[in-house]
Amino acid sequence: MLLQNKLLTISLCIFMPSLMTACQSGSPESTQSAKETSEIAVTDKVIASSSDSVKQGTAQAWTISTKSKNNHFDGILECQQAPSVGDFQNCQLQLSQSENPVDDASLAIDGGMKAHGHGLPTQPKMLAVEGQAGVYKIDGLKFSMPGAWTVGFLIKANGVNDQLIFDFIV
Amino acid sequence: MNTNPITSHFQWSLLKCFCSCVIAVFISGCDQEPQDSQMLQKNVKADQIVWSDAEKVLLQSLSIRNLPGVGLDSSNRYQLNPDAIKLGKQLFFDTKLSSTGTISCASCHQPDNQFIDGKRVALAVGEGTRNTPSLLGASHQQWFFWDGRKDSAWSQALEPLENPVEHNLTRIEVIKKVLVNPEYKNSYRQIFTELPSQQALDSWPSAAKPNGDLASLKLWKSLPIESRKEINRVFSNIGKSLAAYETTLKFPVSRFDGYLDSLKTTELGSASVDTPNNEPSKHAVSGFTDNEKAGLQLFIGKAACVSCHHSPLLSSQHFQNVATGIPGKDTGRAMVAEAQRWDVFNCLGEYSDAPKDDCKDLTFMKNNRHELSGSFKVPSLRNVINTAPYMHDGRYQSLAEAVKHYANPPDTKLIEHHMPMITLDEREQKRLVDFLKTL
Repeated sequence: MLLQNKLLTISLCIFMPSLMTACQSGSPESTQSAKETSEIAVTDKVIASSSDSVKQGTAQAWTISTKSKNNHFDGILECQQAPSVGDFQNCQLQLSQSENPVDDASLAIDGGMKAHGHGLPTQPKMLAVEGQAGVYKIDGLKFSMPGAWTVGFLIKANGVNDQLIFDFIV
Repeated sequence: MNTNPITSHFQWSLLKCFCSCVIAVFISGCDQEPQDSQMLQKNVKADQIVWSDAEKVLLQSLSIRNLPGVGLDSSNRYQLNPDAIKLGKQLFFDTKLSSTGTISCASCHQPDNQFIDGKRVALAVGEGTRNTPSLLGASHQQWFFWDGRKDSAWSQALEPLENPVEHNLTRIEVIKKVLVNPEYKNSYRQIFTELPSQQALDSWPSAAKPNGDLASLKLWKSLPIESRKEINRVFSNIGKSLAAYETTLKFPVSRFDGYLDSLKTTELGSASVDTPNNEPSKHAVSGFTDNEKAGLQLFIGKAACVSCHHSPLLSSQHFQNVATGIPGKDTGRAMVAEAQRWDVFNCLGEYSDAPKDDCKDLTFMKNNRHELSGSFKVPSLRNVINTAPYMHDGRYQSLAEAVKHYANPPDTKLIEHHMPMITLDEREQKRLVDFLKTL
C-alpha cells in the first residue's frame, strides 16, 4: 500500500511539476528504499572543517534515512533545508554501523533522475567532517529540475563494500 | 480493491488528469489534488482555468520580477564600469576586428534583430555549425555557447575573435587592432591602467596563437612565458569590456510577465505591482486568451516544459539531451567538458577576478563524456518567438516544429534522451505554441 502510494505520488510529481510543493511536503522517510544503482566511482576523501557541516536541529533541517543494500551500514542524509532546484545544497551523510559512527570510510556519490534517464548535473565530492564522527559533508550537490531524484553512495569501510541509496522528491 | 483513502485520492488524480488530456478538455484540477467531489465533476473550459495555490507559487517563480537587473559576474571586475561598457560597445560594432574587415560581433548578434542573425547557423568569415543565440539577458547565463564551453561572458567573447569561421584573427592581431586606435587606446589605459609597451606590441608576431595550426602554435611557444601572459591579460581585458557592454542587454518584459503581474494584482486586490526589474509591463492589465492559458497549463503540467525551463530565466542553466545530438558529428557538451577545466580563461584561471569560492559551478561541473553525449545547454525561452530558428543547429524554423519535436519523443531504448515521455495532440501543441509566443 505504501509503495503504491509512493509510486503514485512520484508519478504525479513527474507529470505535474506544479505539484512539487505538495510533493515536497510529503515525509521523506516514506520515499526511502534500497535499490540498485550504477556508475558510482570511488573518489578520494578530503577533510572539511566542522563549521562547514549541516547545522543540526534547525527548523528547516531535512533528513532521510535508510539501510545500505547489504545491511552493513545505516545512513542518514541530512540537509540544512529541503532539497531544492538550482542552488548548491548544504547536505551531509551520517554513516554508522551497528550504531557506531563509521570514520575513515571511502565514499563516492552519484545519482540522477530515473524517470528522465540522466544523472546529477554536477560531480559532488565527499569530505569527512573534522571532529564529527561518521559525518561526511557533500560538496557540490545540485538538482537541476523538480521531480523524483536518487542519490547513492558507494561505501568502502571496515573491510566491506556496500551501497546506500536515497530516493526522494525535489 | 484499494481502500486506502490517500492512495485512492492519488489514483483518482492520475485518472482524472489522464482523461482530461485524452479528450483535450482542460480541467482546472488537472495539476492539483481534488479538494472535494464537486471538483471531480467539473468540465471546465480553458477560460475557466483557476490556478491552485501551488500553481500560483510556481507561476510567480517564473516572473521577470524575480530576476535581478544584472547577473553579477565576480570574474569580471569591470563588468559595471561605465568606461568598460562604452569601450565594449565600440568594439562590439567594429568590423575592423575581423580578418576581412567586414565582420563585427553585431554581424551575428544584430541589435535590431534581438541580437541574433535569424540564420540556421552563424555566417561570418565562414559558415559555423551552431545557431547564433541571442545576447539578451547574457549576464544571467551560467554557461556560454550551446555546449557551455565557457563559464563567463568575457571568456565567451574571446573565442569568436579567434575562430577561423567567425572573426578569424589571432589574439595578438586583436590587441594590435584595438590599441592602434587612439580612442580605444586611451579608453583601455583609463580602465585597465597598464598598457603593453609599443616595443612589446611590435615584437609580438601577429600570426602567433595557442589554438591554431602548428605554425601559429610554434610561434606562440616561441614567445617568453611573460609575454604570453601579458598578451592573454590584454586579450582577457578586451573580453571583459565586451562582456560589460553585453551586461546592459536585458530581456524585455513579456506579455507573460504582464499576465503574472495581473494575477498578483488580483491576488493582492491592488492596482499596482512591485516592479523592481526593468520597465513597467505594458501588458499588466492584458489577460491571456483561452489558448494561451491552456498552453501555460500544459507548460507547467502535462508537457513538463517547466522541468527544464524554470526560474525567471526559463532555463535550468544545465545540460540535457533532447535527442538533437548527432553521433560522430556534434555530441554537444561531451566534446568540451573535459577541456573546460584547463581553459586559461575560466573562472579559476589567472585572468579571472573571482575568488575560488565563486567558481563552484566549474569546480563541481560534470565532465563524464559518456553521460554528457548529446547534451546541450537548456536555452532560455524568454523572447523565444523572436529568436527563430531553434535548437543548437537551427534545424527548426518555427515554434510549431520545435514543439512537435517534444510532443512524441522516441523510445529511449532506440535513442537515449532526457525528454519526458509525453504525448501531445495537435490541439495541445497549438496551445503550447500560443503560450510560448507570450514569453
